[in-house]
Parts: sequence; C-alpha cells; structure tokens
Amino acid sequence: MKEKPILEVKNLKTYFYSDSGTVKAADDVSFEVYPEETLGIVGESGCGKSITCMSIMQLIETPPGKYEGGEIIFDGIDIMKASKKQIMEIRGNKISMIFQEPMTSLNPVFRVADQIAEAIMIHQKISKKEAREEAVLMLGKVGIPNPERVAKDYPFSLSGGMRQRVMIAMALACKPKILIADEPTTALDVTIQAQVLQLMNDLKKDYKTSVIFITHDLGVIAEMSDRVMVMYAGKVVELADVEELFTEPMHPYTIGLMKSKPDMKTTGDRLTVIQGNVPNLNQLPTGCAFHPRCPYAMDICREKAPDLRDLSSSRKIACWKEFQEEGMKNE
Amino acid sequence: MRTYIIRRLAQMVPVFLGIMLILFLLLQLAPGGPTGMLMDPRMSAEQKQELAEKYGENKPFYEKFISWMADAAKGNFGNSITHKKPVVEVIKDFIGNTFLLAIVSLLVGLFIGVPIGIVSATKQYSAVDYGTTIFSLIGVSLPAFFFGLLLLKIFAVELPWFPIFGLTNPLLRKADWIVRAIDKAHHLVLPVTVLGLTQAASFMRYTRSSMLEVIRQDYVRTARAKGLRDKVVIYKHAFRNAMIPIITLLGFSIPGLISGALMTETIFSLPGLGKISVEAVGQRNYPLILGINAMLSIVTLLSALIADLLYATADPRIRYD
Amino acid sequence: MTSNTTVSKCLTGRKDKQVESFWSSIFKQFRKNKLAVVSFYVLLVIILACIFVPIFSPYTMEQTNMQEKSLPPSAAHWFGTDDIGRDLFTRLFVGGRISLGISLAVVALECVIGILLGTLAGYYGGFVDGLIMRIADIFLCFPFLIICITIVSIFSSGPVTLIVTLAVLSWPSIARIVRAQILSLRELEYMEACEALGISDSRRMFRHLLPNVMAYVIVYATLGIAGTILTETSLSFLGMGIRFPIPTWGNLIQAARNPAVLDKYWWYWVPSGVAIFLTVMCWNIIGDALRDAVDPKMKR
Ligand SMILES: Nc1ncnc2c1ncn2[C@@H]1O[C@H](COP(=O)(O)OP(=O)(O)OP(=O)(O)O)[C@@H](O)[C@H]1O
Ligand code: SF4
Ligand SMILES: [Mg+2]
Repeated sequence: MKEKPILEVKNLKTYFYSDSGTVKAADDVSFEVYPEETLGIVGESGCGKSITCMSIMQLIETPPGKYEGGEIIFDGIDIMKASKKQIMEIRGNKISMIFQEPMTSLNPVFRVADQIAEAIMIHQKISKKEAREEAVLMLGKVGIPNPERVAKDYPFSLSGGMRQRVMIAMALACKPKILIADEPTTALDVTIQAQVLQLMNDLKKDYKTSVIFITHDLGVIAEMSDRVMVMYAGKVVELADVEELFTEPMHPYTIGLMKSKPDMKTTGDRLTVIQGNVPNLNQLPTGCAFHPRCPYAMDICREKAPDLRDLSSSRKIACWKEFQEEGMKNE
Repeated sequence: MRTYIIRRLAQMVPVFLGIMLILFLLLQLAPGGPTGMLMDPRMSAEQKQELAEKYGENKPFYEKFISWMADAAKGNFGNSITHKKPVVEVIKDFIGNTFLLAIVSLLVGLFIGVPIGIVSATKQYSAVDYGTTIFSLIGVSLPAFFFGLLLLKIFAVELPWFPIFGLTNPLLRKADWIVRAIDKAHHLVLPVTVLGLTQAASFMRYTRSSMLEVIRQDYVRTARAKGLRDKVVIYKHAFRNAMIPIITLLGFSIPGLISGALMTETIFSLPGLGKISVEAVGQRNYPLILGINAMLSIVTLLSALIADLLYATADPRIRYD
Repeated sequence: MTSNTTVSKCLTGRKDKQVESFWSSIFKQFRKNKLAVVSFYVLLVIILACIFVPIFSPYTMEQTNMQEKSLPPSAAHWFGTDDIGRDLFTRLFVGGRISLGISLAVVALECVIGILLGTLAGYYGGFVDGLIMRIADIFLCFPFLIICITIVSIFSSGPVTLIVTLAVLSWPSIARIVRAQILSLRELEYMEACEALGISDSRRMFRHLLPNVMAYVIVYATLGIAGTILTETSLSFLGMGIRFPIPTWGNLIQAARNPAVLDKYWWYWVPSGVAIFLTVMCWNIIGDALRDAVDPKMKR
C-alpha cells in the first residue's frame, strides 16, 4: 500500500428531503485521497459528485440536505463532528474548492484583489495591505497579465477564463493541502480549457497539493488524474488507477462510459450515450441501481445492491458480475 | 457612471414636462378655468373679459402653457385663493411637517424592516421567519387610517398617553426649545408608529425576498468556502448584493410614502400638506392643489434620481459601464 | 427543447399540452398552500355576504329609525345602529359591494390598459417603447392620493370617474411587468421558429406571447386588488370617493373622525375596518401563493 492518506471519507451519506421524496445524493460513499495525488471523479450529471465534495467542505444547505452518517477524517479530526471553528479553519485554508461556474462564483460587487485577500487575511492573520500584495502576487502566478491592474477590477470586466484563474488564485492563496475542483473547465472554451488545466497541473506540482478533480470528461480525467473514482446514482461503483481503468474498465457502467466516448482526445462530450436514462434519485430501482441499463444484469442484481469491494490492492468495484465469479470459485 | 447619470437626466426631462403638461391640462379643465375662483358672479361680462385678458386666458394653448411653465420655473404657481398668499409660501409653511413625518417614518421602517428581513431570510422556516412573514402580511394589509384610528382609540382615548391631534401643544408655545422638541416628539409617536410600521412591513418583505434570492447565489457559496464566518458571509457578501434591488424599490416607494404621510396627517390632524390638500380640494382652491401636486411630483422625480445614483454607487456594473 | 417541439408548440399555440399542464401545475402548487386555500374560502364568504346580506336583510341601507339610534350590537341589529338608526350590518355589506365592485372594475380596466401598452412597448421596442415607458414614468411620479382627489374633485365624484382615475393612474406597473416578460420571452427560440414560419406580427404577439405573460398578470392583478381596495377605501375615508349616504367601507370608518364616535361608538367603524383588513389580507395571501406557484424560484 502507498503512504498514509490525507483524507479519508468513510460511508458518507448525504440525503435531501423534499416533498417528492428522499434523494440519496451520496449514499455510502468511501474513498481516500493520498498526498500530492489527483483523484478524478466521473459520472453522469446528477450522480452526486458535487454533493460528495460539498459534504467534505460541509457546504450542504441543511435543510433541505442532511448528513445522515459517515466520517470524513482529515488531519486527525472527523470533519463531520468538528466544531464550527475547526471547520472555518479548514475551509479555504487547508481544503479549498473551485466551482463549475466562473461567471457567477465571484461576488460582483467586490474588487478581485479584495476577494482573494479576504481569504488570506483571515487564515494567515496578516494585515489587509500585506494580504493585498499577496493577492496580486497570486494573480501573477495564475498567469493573469498585468496583475496590478486586474487586482483593482470588478469580476464583470473579466472573461470566464480569467475569472476561473482568479478562483484558482483564491483557492490556492493559502496553500491548501487539498484542492477540490468541481468541473472547473466545463463552462470554458476548449482552448481556454486546455490552458486552465495546464495551469492547474503546474500549480499542483509547485504547491504539492492533492487535487480532487470532478468532470464529465474522460479525456480530461485521463490527462489530469492518478486515480479515478466512478460514481453512479449516489454510489461509488469503481475506483482504480487511471491506466488500469482505461486499459481494462471492469464495471459495466465504466465500460459503457468508455464506449460512449468516441475518441480519447475529444473533449467536452457529455456522458449521455449509454442506453437508457439516468434514474431519478428519489425513485431508484431496487438492487444495483444500474441494472435497468446494464447488459450483464443478473437476477441478484435486481434484488441486492452490490457493495464496494477490493478487487486488488489498487482497485475497488461494486458489481455482482465480479463477485459472482469470485463467489463461484469459493464454492 | 457619467454617461449613466446623463442618460437618466435626459430621460427625466420629458417626464418632467409630461407631468407639468398634465397638471396644466387639469388646471384648464377645472370648473371655471384657472381664473374661475377670482370671478365674482356680480361682475359684468366686460369685467370678466378684462380679467381673463389680464390673466392671459385668451391666448393660444401653447403660449399659456409656456408662460405657466416659465412662472412655475420661477417658483410661481399663482396665489392660493383661501390663504391670500402665493401658493409657494403656503406650501413652504406646511411641507416641513410632512417631510418630518415621512423621513422619520422611512428611517424607522428601514431600521426595523431591513435587519428583520435579513434574519428572517437566513433563518428560513424558523419561528422568527413565520413571525416576520405574518407581521409583514398584516402590515401591508391593514389600512393606515384604520390602524391610526385604533391607536388613537387605545392610546389616546382609552389610555390618555398621547395627544389626540396636532403636532404641538399650544400652551407650550413659549417654552424652551428642548421642551418643545420633546412635545413634538410626543405628538409624533402615534403617527410615526402608523407610517413607520407600514413602511417596515414592506421593507421586511423586500429584504427577505431579496436576501433569499442572493443567498442561493454561487458567490455566497464561494464566500463560505473561503472559511468566512456566517456573519461576514451574510452581512458583507450577501447583503451587499441584496441591497441593490432594495435601493431600486426604495426609489419606487417614495410616492407611496408620501401618500401614507398625507393619510396619516389627516387621521392625526397634523398641519401638513395632506391636511391642506384635502382642505384645498374641498374649497376648490385649484392653484394650491396643483402647486402641491407639482411640488410632490418633483420631489418624487428627484428621489428617483437619488435612488438611481445610490444604485449606481452600489452596483459596480453600472458605475463603470 | 428540440426544434421540432419548438415548431409544434408554435403552431398549436395555447392549446398545447405543455401549456395546459402549466396551468394545472400552478393550480396544484396553489392548492398545496393551506393558508391560501383558507383565504380563498374566507374571501368567498365575504363576497357572498356582500351579495346576499343586503337582499335578505330585514332592513335597507337608508331606512332610518330615530327610536333605535346609536344602539350597540344586539340580536336585532348584529352590528348595532348608527346615529340616525340605520342598521349597520346591512350597511357594512352594501359598503362591501361598492368597495369590492369598484376595486375589481379598476383592476380589470388597469389590466386592459397595462397589457396593451406593455405588449406594444415590449414587442416593438425602440421609439414606441421609449414613449410608452416615459408616459408610464410620468404616471408613477404623481403623488397618488393627491392627484386622485384632485381629479375626482375636478370631474365630480361618481363611480365612473373614480374607476377611470384609479385605473389610469395604476396601469404603469402592469405595463412594466408585461413589457419585461415580453422582452425576456422574445429572446426565446420559439419566437424565431414562428418568424421562420411567417406568422404575422399581431397574431404572434397575441396568440403566442400572452398566455405566458397572463400568469404574471394574474399574480399582479390579485395583489393589485388588495392595493386598490386600500386606495379606494382611503379615498372614501377622505370623503373623496363615493359619498354619503351611499355607504362604502371607507366612508363608514369616516364616522370615527368625530371624537364622540371615537370615544363611545366603536361599532360604527370597527367592523368595516376589520372587513377591509380581512379582505385585503386574503387577496394578498392568495396573490403571494399564486406568485410562488407561477414562479417557484421566487418561493421563499
Ligand atoms: N438542494 C437540493 N435539494 C434536493 N436535491 C438536491 C439538491 N442538491 C442536489 N440534489 C440532488 O442531488 C443529486 C446529486 O447532485 P450533484 O450536484 O452532486 O450532481 P453532480 O454529480 O455534481 O452533477 P453535475 O455533473 O450536473 O454537476 C442530484 O440528483 C440532485 O437532484
Ligand atoms: S451489479 Fe449487476 S446490474 Fe449492477 S452493474 Fe454489476 S452486473 Fe450490472
Ligand atoms: Mg456538480
């Protein structure tokens, strides 16, 4: 096994309660993040990727959401049980997050530099002036030309790519241990996307940060991550090293995803080509949630949900197809 | 910012002219015309003719309008028939009280309504939120005059804590200014309660819905993700944005505030524009009533301009456009 | 939305299934709001009472009786009698007829003007838009109450003058809402599809845009009725609306401006105050509920 993980998520359950039923947006999700690695998370829209990551940051609105259980161990403390004060010290400081929508993620009424400086000021207890200087420095590091001038700008005068760079500067300003990037490039043009991804890769090495990278895009995943976690309907269905996953996908859903991707190099495709529809999370099918769409579905799949089990030291999977064979061997 | 202000000013000119034109038309349509009240039934036809001539009654319409506008620009709206004084003088005597009542009530409304609206939005579905919703619903549904009369009945008639009418106690006319100030404040308690709570109710509604809208925005989540305390997130990041539509609504609510002040004055018999307007209408004192209309329309127009300026300062997207 | 459904939506217009389910989903949302449903029934009771109490009451609104003047509420006179012995229960509901009737008429007329001008402004834009919106600004700048009493005093104070005055002074808000809606809907792709199909201007405007706009107008009108009742009763409280001896909710309260009445005869004025309050609150609650149903993102 590798070194000690810096983040361990164990059996995380985040549910939403509404008039139309309960949505199990993250249901028994477990995974680890190791120092300086990039963990990619893929899955179709609505499978619970963002909710999982927002739970790590404790950013779920409660109500309508509710943390129904699990542990999130970071730096020796369980974030799920941490005090407000402890969480404030982690957020934006030790774990920070970049969101999907650069156009709306910055506060329209404050200057760019002030928004970055704000985070530095509270976490590093330095003066406003120093924090601002630091902010301008960060703007330079994320490749913004003429950082002194841009520092005084308001977000509305920046392009999407520039705003996402500002978000990255803000997220990295306190040199976090973990950076969560929730589809940071989905909203950007292809060329800008490539630049931002390159930037993230460079900075990640400089800062020795671990990254959790969420995307729809298998091409991006292949480029960015060391390990990949595949999610379906609120559950982790497969977790493997990136080469392993791409050379030999095992879970039928992962296989479907790979097939639906015409060419590894094209980016920007949405993963919706698997036959059938993403189930409504408040009325999931019984057993394995994927069975109505799965070409390998067996009787047991309709009755009992498979749990996530080790297949090898570096690979986990939740599928009866694999365990059935194992089970038969044992008999 | 410059272009924005210039554009707003340019839009205001035709609005101002339109207001004046409509008021002028009303004046012409008033029974007897603008000079009607000056005419004595005993005057001969020639005398009437002469008077009409003197006041330019027989000139063509546009000339009359232009000369009326020119007079109005100099602050001359003619004479108030019953007060035997220029309209402007009469308005000057009474407008202070109306503004006092309106501004104090507006401030009371803002200081009560906005903070409660914020708390109510951040604690959605809590007891505080339900309380606020019910209070503001009652506040916007209770007619001011009925509310005022109820207060009078309870706190002036049954419990003689407050005066029934007026703004000053005539017995204190010669007292120290501080005594008179306290006396005035005492007279204003009930009227300000009526108007201030009505205003507070609508600011609560505005603030609550504006905050609820803003709290859902991505940048509020960003602020929380930075590790800011809840208070900073709400009062700095969220409220700073929620304020923008509230300022716009503030501009729109000025005519309502003025109407409310006039109504409240009437109930509590305060000597203000409301009282003299009602009197003027009763006495068919058209120069005065139209002067008041013109004055208050201009006040409204100016406060809309101020609201626009505040709006532009609050929203950098406009400031730098 | 694929372009196929776009075109079919355009062709079938308001009879489209989607549009129908739009209304029924509004209705369903509305029914979920218990307070609004209760308000609806309270309002129904008030309206029915206004219609039927004057018909079935043993008294008429003018019938005086000096032997029975200023009586407090009793079994014979549920809300007592006034200073010349008229039955106040009967007068309250006659007053309700007038106050409610006038308010409904005002809002109806106001909607007609507002929808027409708002649609023209939103659809044509440019000069037409500028002109209509400046006129709207003019009307929004007048000190509402004073200009009302001025106009009413110049043109006599009959119900027609009152209705027309109030409607003419209030249309700008509806026009603005309609205009804003049309501006945003104009951007929608199905308008482009209509254009491609060559549907004429006016048909396009009225058949395809208005159903969407109607929902917002209904919300505004419901809340507008609440506001108009307050205005109408304020005017008649000032003696500027419908005048004595015809009772209205506003002029019944006027009695309390007499200190003696305020001191001794609460039943002269409290019932109509409560009636106005209840009615206005019901309209407000229903309007809020409709707004939440039409535009769920506005909800709390
Ligand atoms: N506030 C909420 N109330 C109810 N359900 C919610 C709420 N937020 C999220 N959900 C549900 O949780 C599920 C997971 O949402 P999540 O945002 O994590 O999806 P995602 O995998 O990030 O999708 P995407 O790729 O579109 O971002 C969704 O099906 C959504 O319906
Ligand atoms: S458990 Fe069964 S249905 Fe689910 S993915 Fe595996 S084979 Fe398919
Ligand atoms: Mg997401």
